[in-house]
Amino acid sequence: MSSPAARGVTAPSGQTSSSSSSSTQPSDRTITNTQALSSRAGADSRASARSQQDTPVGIAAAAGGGDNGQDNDDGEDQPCQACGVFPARFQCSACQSVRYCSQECQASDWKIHYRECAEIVAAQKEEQIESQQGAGRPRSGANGTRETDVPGDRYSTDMEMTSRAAASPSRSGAAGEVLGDEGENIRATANRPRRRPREPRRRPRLTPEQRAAYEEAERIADMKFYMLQIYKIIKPVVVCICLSILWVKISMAGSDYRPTQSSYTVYKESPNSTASQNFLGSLANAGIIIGQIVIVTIIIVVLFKRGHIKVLIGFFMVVVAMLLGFMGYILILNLIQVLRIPLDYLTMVFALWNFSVTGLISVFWKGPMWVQQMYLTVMSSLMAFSLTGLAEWTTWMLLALLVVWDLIAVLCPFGPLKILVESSRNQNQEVPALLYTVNAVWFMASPPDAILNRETLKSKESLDSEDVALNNDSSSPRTNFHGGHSRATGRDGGASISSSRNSGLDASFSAHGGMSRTSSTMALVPSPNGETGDRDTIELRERARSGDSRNPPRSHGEGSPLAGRVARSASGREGLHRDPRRDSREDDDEEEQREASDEDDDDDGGGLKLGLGDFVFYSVLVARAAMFDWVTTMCCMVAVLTGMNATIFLLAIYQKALPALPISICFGMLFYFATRFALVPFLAVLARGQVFI
Amino acid sequence: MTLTTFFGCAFTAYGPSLAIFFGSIAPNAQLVILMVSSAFFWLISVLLASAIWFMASDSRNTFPVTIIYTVLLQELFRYFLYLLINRAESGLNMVARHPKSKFNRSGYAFAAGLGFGLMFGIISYITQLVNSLGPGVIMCESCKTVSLYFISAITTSILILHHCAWMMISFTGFTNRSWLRIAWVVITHYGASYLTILNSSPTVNYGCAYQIIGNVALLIASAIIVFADMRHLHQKLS
Repeated sequence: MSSPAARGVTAPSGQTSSSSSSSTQPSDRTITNTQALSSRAGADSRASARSQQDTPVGIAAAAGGGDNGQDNDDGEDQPCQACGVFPARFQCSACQSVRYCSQECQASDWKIHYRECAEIVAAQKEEQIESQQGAGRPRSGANGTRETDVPGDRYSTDMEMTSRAAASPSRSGAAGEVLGDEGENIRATANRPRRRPREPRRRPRLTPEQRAAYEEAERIADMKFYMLQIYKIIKPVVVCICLSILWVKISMAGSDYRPTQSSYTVYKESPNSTASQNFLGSLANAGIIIGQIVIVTIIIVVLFKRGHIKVLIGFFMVVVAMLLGFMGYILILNLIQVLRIPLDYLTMVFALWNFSVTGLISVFWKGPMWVQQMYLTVMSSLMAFSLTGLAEWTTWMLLALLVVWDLIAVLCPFGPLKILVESSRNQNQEVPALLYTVNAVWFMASPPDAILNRETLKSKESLDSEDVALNNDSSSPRTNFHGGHSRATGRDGGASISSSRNSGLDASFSAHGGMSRTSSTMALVPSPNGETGDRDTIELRERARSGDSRNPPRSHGEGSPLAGRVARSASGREGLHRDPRRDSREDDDEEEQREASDEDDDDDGGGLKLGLGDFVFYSVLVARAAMFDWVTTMCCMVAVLTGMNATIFLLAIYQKALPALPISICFGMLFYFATRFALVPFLAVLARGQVFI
Repeated sequence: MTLTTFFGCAFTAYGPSLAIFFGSIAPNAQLVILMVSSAFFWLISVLLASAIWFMASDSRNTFPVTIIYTVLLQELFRYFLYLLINRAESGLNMVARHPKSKFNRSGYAFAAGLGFGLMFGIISYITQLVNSLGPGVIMCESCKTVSLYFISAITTSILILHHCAWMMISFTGFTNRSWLRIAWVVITHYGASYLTILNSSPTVNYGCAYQIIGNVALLIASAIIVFADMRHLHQKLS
């Protein structure tokens, strides 16, 4: 409790004015709240003297207390914080800012409230010190001082806010416009990220209409979030597909180095064999490949459950190295031959070595995000390219079987991928896998202890608020919630804005009690492709990852669903708020610095993650179409993209694990055959007559 | 020479629409998604049309018959797309940049139209475009001096823009139950399609020129309707 207070006092006042003037938020509310706060501060030395505790503080009767007079002006209309019932007669005795109808409600709300409670108490203490020091200061001074408690941080937050406003002026207003009057309330609170927890009326009070409005706002925010995720995932998928098409077209232009059929396949298709022979033979081929995939997936699950994470990582490293090396080699041979580039072996080996090692480093260790994304996209296209060596029937059979396997693995109760997801949730560990995240590439796996320590460290350094609880054992949901939340708030301005706002919203959900959303929804798809030894485990997931936190929230998805929710929406908002910035290239120095530090302590944004396997098999489908015809290729591409959009929309609706392949692949296959056998001849006839339809 | 032809044709055919796409649609996530969906709708309609064509083995080579059901199916799916967007409109508006703007629907209509148009352009022209790289050049049937690829490129370009205009007009028509607009869209669609038969007409001299002029005239007429509607919308607002 001491550090913010001390900083608040010693902070230079010049910065205070600059930071408060640079911010454009509606500050009326702040001031009034501050006044209420400061007037209450003196009366509360008793409460603020208590250190933060793990147990709920007692409830004090709100009505009739002498020095609660100021509270009552806004108190009578304040419903119970937990359940929303109206006669809320009790209030938290430590901070006196929230009200409850009963002790049970307080106990249930404590998970959320203890943190703000601590902060409010800290703020009150500050106020107290302040009022002792500068006795004759006007009221507005209190506002200013309160803002300086974390000067540097506040400053950057404000910068962030203004830049955000510049990037998309209407964004923060979008929800507000819909909400009308209540929206003002939300926006007012939303625009004051750090300040907010320190206010007594931290969360908006909830009348039923207001709650409906919040749910509405939450829904809108969710929709926006998913929309942006689709938007951001479309680009790499399109690039990957286009690259695969390019490789196929190049290699088809008379190269001797086309990827060959795997030696695993037992049946060789020939033009003069009958359809049934082809069917059975390709079924056998695809069955063998799928069998390999299944086995590898199960091995991965077992290894993961046993905790042999390092083995898994090593395995993936070998796979990536082989993929980049061998497939890169074959591709380069293709390019050299088709484009007739004169190149000696020495140069080629040197370039290839650099290429793969850079890829390994950037994927598994660190590297600029765009490099990582680029490598993952190229890797997927290489993988797809290598799979185009399969014969036609086998490819289609393989894709069809993959759809089935994907459905089974993700949706069945004992599907290996479902088990994998659940055990990663239980073990508090990330599944080591190759994922393309929208905001960053994420490959991670580290033992739980390290995670938690780092988490603690990070949240400590990112947030000035000290936190005794974090240093305690981290198994209690509360602690983890704290970790996750502070992480989310400390992460960056965008995140903090939204996360604080949404903790309010989410709290209202929990008050509702009705909604049981899982904190994280993910779908895993296996792509381990036995043939070239590549096994990317694949996931499409919307991740409950706030800031980074290898999911303290997620690990407690069941234990404290709230934590996950807060984190989830925080990360969602983060994605939301970061984009306009990214897109508009509005990186002034502060931001750059902050982002650098963010990315230092671990890049990642929440958000959608699409496994490389999905990339690969989307690309395989389109590449197979590209071996036939351009019209078919374009049709399959649109079909696959639409299928992906549909999957993500379903993800938004169901909020649970969904396999990413089935819809896309089904659309793709349907369109492939329809196009191939009906549309292409149709268009050929039309083109001959130059008739446009 | 063939490479020059290829790039010339590619930019003629897709240049304007791609410029519109990257200028106004691509920065907006919502519109991009809408566009992909509408492209999908167009694709379904044309796949159905091709299925009918496949089954109607007698009239495979008589273009007037083919055009009848193809255009009808496209208009039908345009209506389905309208129904879909209409149903999703509250949701779309919520996540739009300006949730209360009255122009949102026009924006959706435009994006959907561009989706229709681009998909149309890609599907019906890409094979010819790739062929233009090939060893030889085919001349247009009705204008013997111009290559077929180039005439097709111009036609594609115009028809893509046509699709944008049609979609906007028909959305206004569906919304206001203005049968006149719907009829205009259907009739001009048929008109544009039948005009393209002139391209390969062996009897009409300079058929391709007439076709292009006719299509441009139709496009201008449609554009005037669109602008009038937008102006009306604007005045109603203010």
